[in-house]
Amino acid sequence: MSSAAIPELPLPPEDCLRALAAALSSGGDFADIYFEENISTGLSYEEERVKSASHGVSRGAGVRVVIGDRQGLAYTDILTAESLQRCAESASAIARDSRAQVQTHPLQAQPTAARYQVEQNPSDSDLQTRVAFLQRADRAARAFDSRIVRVQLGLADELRRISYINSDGLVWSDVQPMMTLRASAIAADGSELRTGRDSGGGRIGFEYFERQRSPEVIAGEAARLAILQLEARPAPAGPMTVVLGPADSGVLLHEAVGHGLEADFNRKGLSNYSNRIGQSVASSLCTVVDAGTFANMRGSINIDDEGNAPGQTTLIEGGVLRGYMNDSISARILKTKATGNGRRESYAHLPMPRMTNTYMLAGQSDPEEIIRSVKRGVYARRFGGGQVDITKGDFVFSVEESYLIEDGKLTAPLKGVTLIGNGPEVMTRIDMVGRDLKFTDGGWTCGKNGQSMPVGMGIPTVRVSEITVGGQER
Amino acid sequence: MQTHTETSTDLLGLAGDLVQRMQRRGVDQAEAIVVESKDFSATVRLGEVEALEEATSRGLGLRAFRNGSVATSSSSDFSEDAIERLIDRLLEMLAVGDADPANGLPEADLLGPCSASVDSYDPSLASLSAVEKIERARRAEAAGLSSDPRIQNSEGAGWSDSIARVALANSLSFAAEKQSSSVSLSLSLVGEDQGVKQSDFWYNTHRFLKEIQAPEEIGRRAAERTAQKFGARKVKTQQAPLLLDPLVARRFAQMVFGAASASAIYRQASFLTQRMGQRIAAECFSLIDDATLAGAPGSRSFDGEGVTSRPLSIVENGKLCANPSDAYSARRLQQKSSGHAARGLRGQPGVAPSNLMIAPGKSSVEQLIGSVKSGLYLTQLFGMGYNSVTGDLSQGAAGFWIENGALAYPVQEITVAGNLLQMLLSIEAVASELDWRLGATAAPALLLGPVTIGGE
Repeated sequence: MSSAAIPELPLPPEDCLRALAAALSSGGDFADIYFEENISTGLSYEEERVKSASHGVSRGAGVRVVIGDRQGLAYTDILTAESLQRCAESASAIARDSRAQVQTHPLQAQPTAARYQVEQNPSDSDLQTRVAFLQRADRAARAFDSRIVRVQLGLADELRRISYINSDGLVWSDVQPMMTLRASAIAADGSELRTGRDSGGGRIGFEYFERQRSPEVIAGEAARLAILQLEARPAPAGPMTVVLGPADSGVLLHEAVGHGLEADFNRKGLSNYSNRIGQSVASSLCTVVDAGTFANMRGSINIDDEGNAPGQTTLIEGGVLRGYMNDSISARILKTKATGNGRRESYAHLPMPRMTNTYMLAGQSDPEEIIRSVKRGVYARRFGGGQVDITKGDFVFSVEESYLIEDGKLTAPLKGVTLIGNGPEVMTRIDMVGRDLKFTDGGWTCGKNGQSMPVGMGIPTVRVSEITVGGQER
Repeated sequence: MQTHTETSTDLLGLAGDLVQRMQRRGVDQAEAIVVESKDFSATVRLGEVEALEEATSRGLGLRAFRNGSVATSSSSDFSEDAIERLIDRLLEMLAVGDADPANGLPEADLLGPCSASVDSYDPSLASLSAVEKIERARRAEAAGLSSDPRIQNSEGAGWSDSIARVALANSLSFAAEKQSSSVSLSLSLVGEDQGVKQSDFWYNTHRFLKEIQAPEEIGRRAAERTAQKFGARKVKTQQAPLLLDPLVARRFAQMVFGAASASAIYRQASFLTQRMGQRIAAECFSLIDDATLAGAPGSRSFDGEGVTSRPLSIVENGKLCANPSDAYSARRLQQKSSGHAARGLRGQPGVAPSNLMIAPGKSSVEQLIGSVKSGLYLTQLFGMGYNSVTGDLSQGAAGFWIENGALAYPVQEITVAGNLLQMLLSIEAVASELDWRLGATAAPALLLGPVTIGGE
């Protein structure tokens, strides 16, 4: 029995309970109300000046009715009891053919973790503080090399205040900070133009710049990548041995296994991982976990958007498929416990299973040794993004920094390429895993069914014996 | 107080009032946008309604200029004190912004709705009931699931529609409102053959309900596209000509628009920098954007800054002849806005197309396939591997292999790599069919010269 204080809601609890009763007036398993206020600030910096500043406030509530695997959602940005009541009536349409069974439950506070302590809160900082970070970043990128001709920077921060109540009487609230610095640089050599980019941040305040990566480091990295691309030569095309560097290569896991292991796709039989629990889907060197529990990480959450606590969900253990990431509906249908992966982009969206921070556990190999083991191949270090067809399992990810490996040594830098493979096939071809697990620090955003979510990822150095490289050289 | 079900807010009055309030607080120029939209969507999966979503939402966006700097703010809260706080914040942001002589509203003589009557709203949508909408999604899925025994599963058929009113006002006495509608019907199917799952989709989206194909047609196309993928394989790594399906050619049109836009050119962040008046594509390639096109899905009488809509030739017979722009990027190139500002509630306007099209040619797609001895009919490009600064492209690909002028077998898990400028210059033929039901960009199939294909 929890004795914690009931978190405050934007509207009196009795109005919420009345709306929840209206939501279930035609029937349904449960209903919930998701209140959100999002306050954001963004500064863009270009041509050595503050180019524009923007500020946004969005506030609203979504009322959801769930019946089996069916959901009704109605949302409003007018936070009054009348408006909420109308949303509840609209959302109840999903359950039109069933029987009402409204029970009232006493309100109960749902405890939440505290994974994002913020010391230098952006919302308490004046705009001049932000400008100073941008100026530092800009100077560092320009000082890196005289061939850097353009630097574009964006510093964005937002604060989401979420509060939630459902028909079981469960009430919780969370305040989610997010801060991201993005840097891109263009390098020119005669008429040759090349680009580089990097980003950093997380659910953290401006202390991030002192403790983890300074504006100089982030912008300097964008400049380094742009200059490196000036020397890059076209990559080979066709099947090659590829060594994936630590951290950023986690995008491989995100695309090759992550999306395919979201429970909604699996309960519907849409994923090529459907009905394969207990089967081998990767090499025995691979253990893959999704965990929203790391302090201040971009994909971390104190509680998911349905009130379930995120855990450390083992997806693949020693190459064997162990479980899926689920939301409330999938957990109930698959008769398994909720993993805390039910996330919604905003009050105007339905929750669905989403990744948090997806990573592979460290292995035994020395990363240097992994590179030395390759006679001819590609070493990939920084990535742009990826995409997957979850049904067949084909995925791509684009490489923004890579090198040719010749006789166990990194030689020429290569132009940007895409790697393509089939999830289970590529995962089975991972034949060396390094000791050096690292997490990305980039501003990764994952898109699914039109909803964007901040995510994290991590991986040690791994060797894939063969994957198709999309270069221009035959 | 506005109600949930009726649109009764005086948006134009509110926008004008917001502009005056900003002016009273001492800004040099001000602009306000107020939006109200009614959205509905339904997903039907395996005959059951899986999700229903419904909402009426509102928002306002402010933009102000002072001493050469610019700031924007947006809010969904229309209350007096919320607006006052929003303007306070706007003034704080103006104080940290740096001066830029190119900042400012468009010149007054560019403003106003165009004289052609541009129809962007379909009143028949409002009278269609939720039950009828759900029924259309159900029919599309049923048709898709009944056409091939190997296709037994579905990701769902989706219906969505939106009716929006937008009012825009600025301190140069511009004030206008436009109403628009959009509707889409889509279906994504999953089939299995010899232990391999494949999925594909089809969709239609438009402003006008009558343009959307019959649900059974959407279902049939989705099933046909899914079934065609069975038995897909890789091909050898090689160089071969590419025939772009209209779905892929649309992406090419958008890439060229983006690279030609004034916002990319003034930054010198485009492979089309310094190429005005030069040949950047084969002579059979022309790219036009026309916001005044009757009955098209992206038509509008003025752009996101109030600039009058007019047609613009971007590439004519292979020559780059215009940079689509908004007020800021136009000034950076010593030009006037071409009327291509797109503005959401948040942030600065950007440059975006309205109705964008690659001018159709003379051949049918079948004739183009017939002309290829050995090559790739490209139906899908995926991943992020396109760099608009260099034009370099390396993406995942899927399609059909063409042998001796006929589609031989489906192809998957390969890459296509090349440079967009070289690809545009290598265009050999443009097909004649143009479809406006896939969105506000329409492109016929394009036959390109050889590119590198990464496979086995």
